[in-house]
Amino acid sequence: MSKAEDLEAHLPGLTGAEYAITSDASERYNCIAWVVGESHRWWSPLAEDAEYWPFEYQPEATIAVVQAALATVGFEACADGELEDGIEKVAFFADERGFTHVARQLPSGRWTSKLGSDRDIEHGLETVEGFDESPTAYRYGRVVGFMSRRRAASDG
Amino acid sequence: MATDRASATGVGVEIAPDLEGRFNELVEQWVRERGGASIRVHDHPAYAEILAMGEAAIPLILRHLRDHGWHWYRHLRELSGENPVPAGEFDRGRKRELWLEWGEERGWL
Repeated sequence: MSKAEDLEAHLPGLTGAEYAITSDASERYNCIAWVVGESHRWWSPLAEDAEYWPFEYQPEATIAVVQAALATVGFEACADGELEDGIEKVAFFADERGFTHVARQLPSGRWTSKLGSDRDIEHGLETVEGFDESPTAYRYGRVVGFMSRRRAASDG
Repeated sequence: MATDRASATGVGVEIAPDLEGRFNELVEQWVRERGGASIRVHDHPAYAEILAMGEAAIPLILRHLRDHGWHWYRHLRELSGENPVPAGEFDRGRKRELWLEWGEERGWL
């Protein structure tokens, strides 16, 4: 199985879509770290994941809990994921259990995601949505909200 | 008891082949099925089954940590009742080093 086929088995929405694998797999950081610009530690609000969180660990990983953490690095709620000059946006995904994933918008308008312990990819936003019940599916659910902050001058 | 650390010093811990085979199956399944998770990484039956192996799983976990990384710190804490990683140390590379040093000191590696 090629690297792409392997990824498409996890995220069926990528099949036939335009996307790029942009890193090797890594357990050092996850999607939350990636959207705040870190690649050395694993952000999680759950003590069971036992890594880094800017506040006390929480009993549940709700969207509000993750949004509160991103507010500490300058993100504020916004209406949509439309590309705006000088603005960096993030999109939150959730399933019926709560937060699952967050992706960051690139200056091109495309999105970048760190897929848990797996790889980074550049992709269209909806292509990583899904509720596939297959055990191998990453099952990020759907986009449920956005935040934004002013883009750093060095970031295009 | 599945291991004899005292007699294995310097040559590694002896591990029952059937235990190692089952461990490898569980790890493969866990990585394949929770590899995309950023939270609730341990929310998988393989996690519980590895824990149920008890102390005998520690050398297997340490070898996997040494060779592949992955989310082993919670297993190691729960199985050993110890934690060589100081509070505030978030760097996974450093955590890995500390656990491997711990394993060598205890004779698990």
